[in-house]
Amino acid sequence: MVSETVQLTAALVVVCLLSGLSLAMVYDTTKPYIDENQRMALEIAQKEVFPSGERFDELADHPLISTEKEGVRSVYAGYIGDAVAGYALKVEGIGFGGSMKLLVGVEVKDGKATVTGIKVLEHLETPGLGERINEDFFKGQFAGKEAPLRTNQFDTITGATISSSKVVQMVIESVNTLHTQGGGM
Amino acid sequence: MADDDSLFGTFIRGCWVQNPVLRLLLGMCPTLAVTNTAVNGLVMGGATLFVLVCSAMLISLFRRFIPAKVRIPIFIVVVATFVTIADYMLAAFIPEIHKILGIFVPLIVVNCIILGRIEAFASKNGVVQSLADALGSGLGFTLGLLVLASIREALGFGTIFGYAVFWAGFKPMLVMVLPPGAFLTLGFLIGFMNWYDQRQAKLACVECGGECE
Repeated sequence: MVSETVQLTAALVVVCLLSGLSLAMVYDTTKPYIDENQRMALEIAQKEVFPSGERFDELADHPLISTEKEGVRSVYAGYIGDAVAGYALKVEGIGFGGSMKLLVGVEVKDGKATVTGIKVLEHLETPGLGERINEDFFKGQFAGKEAPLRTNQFDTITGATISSSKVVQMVIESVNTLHTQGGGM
Repeated sequence: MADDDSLFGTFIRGCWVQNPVLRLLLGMCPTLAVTNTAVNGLVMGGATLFVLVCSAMLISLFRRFIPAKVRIPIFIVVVATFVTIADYMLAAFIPEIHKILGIFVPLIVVNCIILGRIEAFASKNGVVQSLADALGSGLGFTLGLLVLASIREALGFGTIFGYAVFWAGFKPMLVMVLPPGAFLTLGFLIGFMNWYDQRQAKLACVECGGECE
């Protein structure tokens, strides 16, 4: 007669093993699709924030990249022909609901940095409220603004004050840093 | 009505007589949190329905092998597995919808309708009965969320599923999509359900000559 403790433990072990096994299988099956989705989403996002860029290259050791809790995570150089015409900056910051990731497009011409567009890549903001940082009336106000940027150039959203001010702050800080580094050239 | 043990009776009990949102007041966390737009309510209901049906059928199938003393941990592991599968699937095949739902998909694990139906029904009944029960409760939950979310979106944004439903110049009441709006709408809906029940009971009385008055 097997003791009850052994029986109960065995039941739990079997269930957890089966659960782990099936999850590993689902993970392996879906991973290529998820990776592909993310790669495609990044490509589309780069094109969206910096439309004149013909192709994009990741610059791994760019001085703008920060390892702090918030800051620039990746720098993608956007090329027209063989010349770098601008950048797409992936910026991370802590919003109302958790980490937010933005892609900020910047055109660099004659030593001047001009925002060409922004896109929200990831966020955990409240659906229907903070989520409205995704709407065009808000995102659209950044395009065409020239560095150095100031807070009073931008509107925030009623009911989403924390989320929207954070987006404004993230754009301003990353673009202004790029600007003071001499356009990143 | 509650004693009707046929498959259809079981289904209707979950869907209407014991509607999780409007009668039992179970699963209040997603009910109040995600119902500010109709799309959110519908997709949340659908994901919950998937997890509930899969877990209920699996547990009903193996109910004789699950030791009573560790049944709750086993239920939770099974439910969490299906939730994670749903999460991966959504991320892989419909990334747009996955993005909308965000944090609320993992939270399905702690939805008490799922654990409640498994503990109260699926662990004691056959697979087909459990399927009818899970479908009933799952659809009832989806329906409750959809009604609540549509009302809130209509009054708070002036739209349903993104389409305008009011005249031009309608001024949306932002409070309806903020947390207080969830409590207000839910309260009125439950009040309406109770009023409807009492009215039905009264009508039944008139039919029998009012003897039970």
